[in-house]
Amino acid sequence: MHGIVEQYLIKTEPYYCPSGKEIDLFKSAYHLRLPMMLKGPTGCGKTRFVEYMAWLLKKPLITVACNEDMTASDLVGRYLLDPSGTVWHDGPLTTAVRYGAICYLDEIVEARQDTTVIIHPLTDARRILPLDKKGEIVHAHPDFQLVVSYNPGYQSISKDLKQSTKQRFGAIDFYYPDPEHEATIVAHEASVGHEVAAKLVGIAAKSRALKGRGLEEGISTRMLVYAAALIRDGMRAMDACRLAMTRPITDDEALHKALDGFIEAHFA
Amino acid sequence: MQVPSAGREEAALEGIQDPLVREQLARKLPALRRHLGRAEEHRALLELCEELDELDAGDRLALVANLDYLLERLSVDALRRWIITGMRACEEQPERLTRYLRLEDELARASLAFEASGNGLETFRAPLQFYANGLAGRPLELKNRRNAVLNGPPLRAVITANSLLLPEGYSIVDGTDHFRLYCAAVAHAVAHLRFSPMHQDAGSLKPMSIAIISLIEDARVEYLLALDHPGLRRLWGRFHAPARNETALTFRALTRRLACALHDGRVEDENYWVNKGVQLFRERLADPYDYRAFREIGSILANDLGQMRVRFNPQQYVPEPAYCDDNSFLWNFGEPQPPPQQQEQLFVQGVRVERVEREDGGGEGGAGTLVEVEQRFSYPEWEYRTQTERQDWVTLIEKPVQLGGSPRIEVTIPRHRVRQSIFSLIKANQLSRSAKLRRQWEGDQLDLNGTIAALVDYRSGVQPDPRVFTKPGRHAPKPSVLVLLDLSESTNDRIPGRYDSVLDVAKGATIVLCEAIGEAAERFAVHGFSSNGRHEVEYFRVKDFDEPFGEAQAQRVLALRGEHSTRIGAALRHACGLVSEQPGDHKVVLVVTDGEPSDVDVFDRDYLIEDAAMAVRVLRGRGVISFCLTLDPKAKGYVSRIFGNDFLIVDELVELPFHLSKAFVKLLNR
Repeated sequence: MHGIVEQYLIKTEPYYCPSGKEIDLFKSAYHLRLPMMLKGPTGCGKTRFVEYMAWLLKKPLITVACNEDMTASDLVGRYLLDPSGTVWHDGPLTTAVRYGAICYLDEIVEARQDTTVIIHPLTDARRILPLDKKGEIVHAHPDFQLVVSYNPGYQSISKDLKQSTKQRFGAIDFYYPDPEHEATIVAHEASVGHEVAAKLVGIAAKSRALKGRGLEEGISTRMLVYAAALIRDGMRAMDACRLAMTRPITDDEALHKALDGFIEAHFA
Repeated sequence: MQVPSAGREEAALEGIQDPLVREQLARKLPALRRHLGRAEEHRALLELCEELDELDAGDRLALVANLDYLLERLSVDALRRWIITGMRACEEQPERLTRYLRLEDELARASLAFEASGNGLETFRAPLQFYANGLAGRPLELKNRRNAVLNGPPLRAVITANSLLLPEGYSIVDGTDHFRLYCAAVAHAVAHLRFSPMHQDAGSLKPMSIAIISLIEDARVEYLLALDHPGLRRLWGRFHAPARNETALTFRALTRRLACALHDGRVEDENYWVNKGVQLFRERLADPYDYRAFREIGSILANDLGQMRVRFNPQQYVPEPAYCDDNSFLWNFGEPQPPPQQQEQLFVQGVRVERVEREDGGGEGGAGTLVEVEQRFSYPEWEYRTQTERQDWVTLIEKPVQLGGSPRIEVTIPRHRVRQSIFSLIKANQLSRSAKLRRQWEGDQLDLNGTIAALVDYRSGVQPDPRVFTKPGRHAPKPSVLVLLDLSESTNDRIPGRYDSVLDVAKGATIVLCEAIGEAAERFAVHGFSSNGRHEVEYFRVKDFDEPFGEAQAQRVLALRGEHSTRIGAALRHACGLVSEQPGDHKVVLVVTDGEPSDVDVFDRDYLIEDAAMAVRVLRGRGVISFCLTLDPKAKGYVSRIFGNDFLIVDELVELPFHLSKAFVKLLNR
């Protein structure tokens, strides 16, 4: 493995609790180097899953958090100045393609559509990345795989992937784990008792029933972990749930009242 | 404001039996009018006065004398609750009731302040609806249950499989925190829905047995729900509190004590019967899911009560505490089934109110509206079978929006979210890399031409121009968008799982959209239409292009009502004319509808569809883009014939605001 990407190797096993066949599915997809799309609401474990898979497959993982202002050069690289003149610097995507890493574009819909089209030649049979400014075509390393994450929720009103982009990927659906698993995850991540974790999961389940009926998105597993950690450190459960769960997800007063009702129902 | 004319008023007063009350009321009514906003309030007050016969003659007069003071502080509904509270609290204490109605009693003032601060179901409806949906894990429609008689027993919630009827108001006697009381009622209902067998055959059970078995069942399902929601125990517990001081040996007192003791799970009650009940209940908690075993307890306890010769009056009995439901969910009484009856009653009530509203609205004109007089326009219509245009076939009437008449709906859409999304959408779409600003002092990239020119200048010894950058510019399209709302009768349909109608959601969405766009300063208008045959296509200008969106415009949106049919072609042609007058070259008509075009005088389904399609072609010819948001899931067949690809079917209606704003922004940037 090339020294440049070695730093991206994940050394210790990340905690991941599978809730279905996703590990096997991903392994098979990687075997074919199929570009993968992980779909699911925020905070349900997509990024953790990629880390876990990179660790399992012993491949370096280069993560790029996409945003609106990201341009194609932020991904592929650009010429920079140094005392001797201009030098080319590979971007994260080019590094992954050249030296064989898993490149993970987190929340790809956040990037503008003219940025995302640069992955098109990489994600079909050609597996090449043309660097037009440099006049080079990079052929993908055999280990390279592209993984993107994508939240098909309310974001899709303003932002959506083009069909031509979507159809280049295999996809795995993610959702919050079932209550039993979710409680185990929260208990493990925040080092709290299973009972507290189960109550938090109960609150989250009620908020998820309000998705599309007031809430854009239910309370995520990540939020539960935060709240659980606050409770572990001695904060009152009511306060912790408000701080980490109900206040961040909405500004609507009526919803706050209802969500507080759920917290009260679980924590006597 | 619409108020009944003097003649009608006199006629209305005839329903009041007591001549003294009638006379005093007739004198007071003109002065009271300033407290009564709408015609319904007026009518409700008269109805209330008719019911005052339940009271003593002296009390009636005392109350009428205080009406001015009371109505200054309370709505008629709240006044009604205030009277009911007095009658309940002063049961069998006529002197105290007199003092109450004369506002000389402490409770009268407390209850007045309480009602004035707004504690009815309407105040809490939005959070409660969320609470109910979340706790039940599925949509559970909340409905209003109105106390029909002044002197009746207090109302309890009614549970059906998919909805929950809650009393429109509890009284201060039931507890002071009414939001929590409603929450307790919702949680109690959810407990029944999850754990109770529905509509058990009551068979030959005596009313007392039914009451006691229901009470035990209440305790059982609460116990079960509290297993994974321990906080609910405390929520319910607050309303058991008064029972802890109860010492009487009446049926009501004993059952309250039993309910409280079952809730607390303690056996320290002084009464043997109550202790026995708790003991039996606890013994059976080993398997709390065994309905039969618990039903047995109820039978045993009812039997004991019978032997203790405790009197039971089924007409006066209501389950305690106040958050309990009326238990009709649990029983099937054979022929006159209570739950459907309840629903029917509610339904009849609803229809009655609706009809009366319309009667009122028909005759009288509204003041303070945009279009002061009606204007008539004639439009052609396309006859597809002969491929000809029927000249001046349709008469379109621009009418003022009649204010009032429609109750104010609460817009439950989180406004800030739509506002944010519209704002960011408009801004994001304005930022355009295609509009590149050249020769800038600073920017992301070098402007090649500028750089070369600067270098040339530099080499030829001239001061170079330092503006050598480009940056993305902002498109500033100023399109004119006309939002055209379908106001046909079908928009009054209720949405399953919610308490509002299609039109309510459309109104809410429109208001939120208008507020959001208003801030972004785009040119837009909101108009509405409905039709009643070809001679009467009504068209309402709710907000015009050159007026800002403010309170008056919002009132107009809220006052819109759905009636008649959808003759869309004429409305489209009219809208086209209006939008064409606007400056700029980017013009859009955005139609929001809930069904296919239809009208009372057209029997050929294709006729209006083909006409609408022709209207869209006419619009296109004049450079006006049309786009349709439809709420009809089965619309694809006809809507694509009318609008081509320019439509969107919104199947999840609650998402209408988002789709509306999304469509709006998309059209802005076409």
